[in-house]
Amino acid sequence: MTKILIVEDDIALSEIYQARFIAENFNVSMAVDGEEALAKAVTEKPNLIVLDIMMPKISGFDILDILRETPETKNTKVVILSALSQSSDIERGKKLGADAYLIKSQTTLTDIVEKAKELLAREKTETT
Amino acid sequence: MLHIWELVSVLLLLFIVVYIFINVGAKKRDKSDELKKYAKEMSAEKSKDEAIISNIADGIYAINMKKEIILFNKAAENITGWAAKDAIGSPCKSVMNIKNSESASICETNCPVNSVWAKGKNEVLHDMCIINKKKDNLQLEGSYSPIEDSGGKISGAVCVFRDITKRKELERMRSEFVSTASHEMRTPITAMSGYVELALNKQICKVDDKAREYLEKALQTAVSMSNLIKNLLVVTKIEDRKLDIKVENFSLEKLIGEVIEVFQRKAIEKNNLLKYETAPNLTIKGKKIGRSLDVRADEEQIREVLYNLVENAGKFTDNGEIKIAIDYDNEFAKVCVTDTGVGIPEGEVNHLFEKFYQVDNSATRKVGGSGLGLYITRSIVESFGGKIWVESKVGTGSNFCFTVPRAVE
Repeated sequence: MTKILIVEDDIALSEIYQARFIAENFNVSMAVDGEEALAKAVTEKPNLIVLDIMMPKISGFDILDILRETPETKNTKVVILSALSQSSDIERGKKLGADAYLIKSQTTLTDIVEKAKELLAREKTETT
Repeated sequence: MLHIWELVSVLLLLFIVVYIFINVGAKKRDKSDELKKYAKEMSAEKSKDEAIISNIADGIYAINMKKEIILFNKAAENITGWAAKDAIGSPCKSVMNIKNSESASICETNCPVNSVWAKGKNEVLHDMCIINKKKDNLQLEGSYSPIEDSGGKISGAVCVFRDITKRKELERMRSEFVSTASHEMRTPITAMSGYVELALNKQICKVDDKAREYLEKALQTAVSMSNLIKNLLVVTKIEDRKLDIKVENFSLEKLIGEVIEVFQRKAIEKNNLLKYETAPNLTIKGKKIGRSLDVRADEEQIREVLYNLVENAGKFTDNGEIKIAIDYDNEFAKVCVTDTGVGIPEGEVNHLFEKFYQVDNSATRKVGGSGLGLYITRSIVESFGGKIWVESKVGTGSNFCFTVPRAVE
C-alpha cells in the first residue's frame, strides 16, 4: 500500500487530511513537528510527504532542505501545503526541491489528493 | 537808469526762473515720495510672503543651481532640527540627505532635483527618509518643483515636505494586525471547509439530501469567507505599496493555458465553453507573426488578474462561452476575457473597479462577492503600467480587457 506521511501541527487539519487520504486507501502516518517528521521520513520511508511550513522548532523549509540532503529521502515526493501564499515563499519551496506547492486556503481536499496521485504516478514511471 | 520795459523783462525772467524751480522741485518731491511708497509696499509684500512661508505647517526649502540651500522655513527647522541660519548656504545633501527604503542615500545617484530640472516639472515623492539632527530616522513625503526666473530660465528648485513618521508607524501596525488576523483566521476556516468536505465525501459519510444541500451551502460560505480574507490582505498590501512583486519576462500564452486548466472543471459544471483564441492576423509593425510574445510583469500577479476575470465571467455565465484572447501592439499585449453572460447595466460599468463596489441586481446577490476582486485586478494591472476597461451589454455579455507591457525582444 502506498504510504503517505502528513506533517502538520494543527490537530484539526491533520485529522482532516488523514481521514481524506485513508478514504482513498492510502497508508497514512502522522507527524506534528519537524523532529518527528524527519525521524519517520527515514524509518518509515513514505512514498510521499505532505508538508506544512509554519511549525514549531523546525520550519517546513528546513525539513525539506534536510530531506533533500539525506540519501534515504532525497527522491521522496514532497507536497508543501501551507498558509503562506507569497510568490517568494512558493519560489523558496520549489528551489528547495518541493514537487508541488499548494496554498491551504485555496485548495480543496480533492485538489490535494489529486496532486498526490499525480506525483505518485510520476514516481512510479520514474522508478520503472 | 532802467527803462520801464527793461524792468518788466527782468521781472518776467525772474518769475519764469522761480516758476521752473518750484515746479521741478515739486516733481522731484513727488517722484521721491512715490519711490518711498513703492519701497514700503514692496517691503510689506516681502514681509507678508516671508510670514506666509515661515508659518506654513509643511517644511519648505529652496536651493540654487549649485544645490545650496537658499531658503529654509520654520517648519523645516522643526522637522529637521537644523536652524535656518546654519542650513542656508549649506549643500542640500548635508541637511536633507534623502534616503530610499533601503536606507541608501539617493542624493548622489538619483537626486529628485535632477529629474525635476531635466523634465522642468513637479515630482512627488510619497516615501522618502532623512536622518534629522538628533539622528532619528524620519519618513517624509514631499514634492519638488523647479524655480524659474522672470526669463523662464530654471534657477533652482523648491521642496515642500511633511513628516509622516507617525502615520507610517500606524500604517505598519494596521498592516501587521491585518496580516496576523488574516493568517489566524485562515487556519480555522480551512479546517471548517475540510470537515464539511469530509462530511460531503460519499466514501466517508452518509448524509441525506437536505443535509447535503446545507453542507454544500456551508462549504460555499467558507470559501467566500476565505476569499474575503485573502482579498483584504491583498488590499492592505496594495495600499501600503507592499505587494510582493517580481518583474520578469514570461509567456502569457502559457499562463493562459494554465488558467484555463484550473477553471475547466467549473466551466464544464456550468455547461460553459472555456477557450483560448489568438488574434487571427497577429502583426507587429505590419509584420505578420505566428507566435505568442513574452510580456514583462510579475507572473503570479498577472495570474491573479486572470483568475479574477475568468472566475467573474464564470459566475455570471451559464450554458454559454468564455473566451480569452491576446493581441499585441508595439508596447503592450492586450488580453480580453469575453463572456456571453448576464452583462452589466450601463450606469454601473464606470464604478466596477472601485473598492467594495458591487452591481446591485439579482445575479450578483445570487453569486455573492466582496467587491474587492476588480479593485485588486485594476491595482495590479496599473502597477505594471497597464490599463483595464470593460465593455458590456445587459443580456449579451461582458468584455474585460487589460494591457501588460511586452518584453523587449
